[in-house]
Amino acid sequence: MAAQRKLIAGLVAAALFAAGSGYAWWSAANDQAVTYGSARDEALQSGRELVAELSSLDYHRVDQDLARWLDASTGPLHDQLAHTDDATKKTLAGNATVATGKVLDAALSELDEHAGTAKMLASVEITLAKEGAAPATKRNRFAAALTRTSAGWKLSALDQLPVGAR
Amino acid sequence: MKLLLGGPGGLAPRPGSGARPQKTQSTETEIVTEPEAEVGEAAPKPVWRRLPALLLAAIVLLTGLGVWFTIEARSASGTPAAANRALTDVGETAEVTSAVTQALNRIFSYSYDKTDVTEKAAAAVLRGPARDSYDKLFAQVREKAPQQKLVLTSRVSAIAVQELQNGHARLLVFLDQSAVRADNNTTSSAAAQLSVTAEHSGDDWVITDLAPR
Repeated sequence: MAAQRKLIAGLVAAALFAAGSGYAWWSAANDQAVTYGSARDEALQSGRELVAELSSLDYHRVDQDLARWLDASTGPLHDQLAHTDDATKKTLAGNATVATGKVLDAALSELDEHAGTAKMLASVEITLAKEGAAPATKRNRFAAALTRTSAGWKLSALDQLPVGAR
Repeated sequence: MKLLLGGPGGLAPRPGSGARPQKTQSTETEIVTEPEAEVGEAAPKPVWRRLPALLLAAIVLLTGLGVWFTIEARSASGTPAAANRALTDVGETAEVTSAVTQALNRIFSYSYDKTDVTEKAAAAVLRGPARDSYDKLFAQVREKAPQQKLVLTSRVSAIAVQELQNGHARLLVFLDQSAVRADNNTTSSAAAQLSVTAEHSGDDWVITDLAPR
């Protein structure tokens, strides 16, 4: 009987341990710092890829690249890109330039997880390769706005930040 | 099962059963009563016997679950995403943003006739590798300032915190710089991107590393 009481006490202790740690897991998984933190990192990662996407263009395939840009954007930026007319496309193709954007550094300056919006700063190195000329690189500063859609984060604005922009 | 097993066993003529015919009868009555008697009599026994084993099994199972939940809880709150308090800790994010903005505005603004102001500011907010990077970035300005009568004004135009953890922060900063040469009255402006590492020291933040981006 004494042994059984010990076992029952052990069972109660084990049940309390399981319940307590279960609650700890639940609260850790729902902790705002955890959910918000992973939303922030996810938005930043997507933002970096999208900005690189939108700062790259190959004149050989302007139409495909524009389609890629449309896929990477939403809202006002998407609308703006969708209105790219044939003259602009011809100019892009006629430039005979392959632009490749690389995000050197980026950071989220704002994140509204509920609304699904974020703002990001990005330092981008764009390499312009023209046939018969040495490739030129330039550094650009961008402010990007991100919006979460059903297909993940998309760019809703991408503005260059020249000196004295603000 | 017991009835099937007990049935043939009871009905089968046992060796030497002929010597005691009554036994067969008593066995037959036993067959009828046996199932009920076994349920009522033998069932509690295994449960009492098995109870400790069941309890032990439950203890092992619950302890196992507890350990699993604990590991999950630890890994959920220990992820890099959770440990990094950038933006999640609104107060500290604002604090380091403001401290670094003020520090950069001061150390990257320079007037040829008031160099000590900048020097003092740099001594106050720069530590370790940041000091060397700053001296390198600023060497040209220091050299040319007196003869060009140079006044350099820097302003943080955009800033964001990338990492914030245990009093250690990494920020991306966009700096707008304008330079005025009083000797020939020309102005020029430049854009700069900096990756800044800052550390909490006492009540304030100091800059421990600076890298152009």
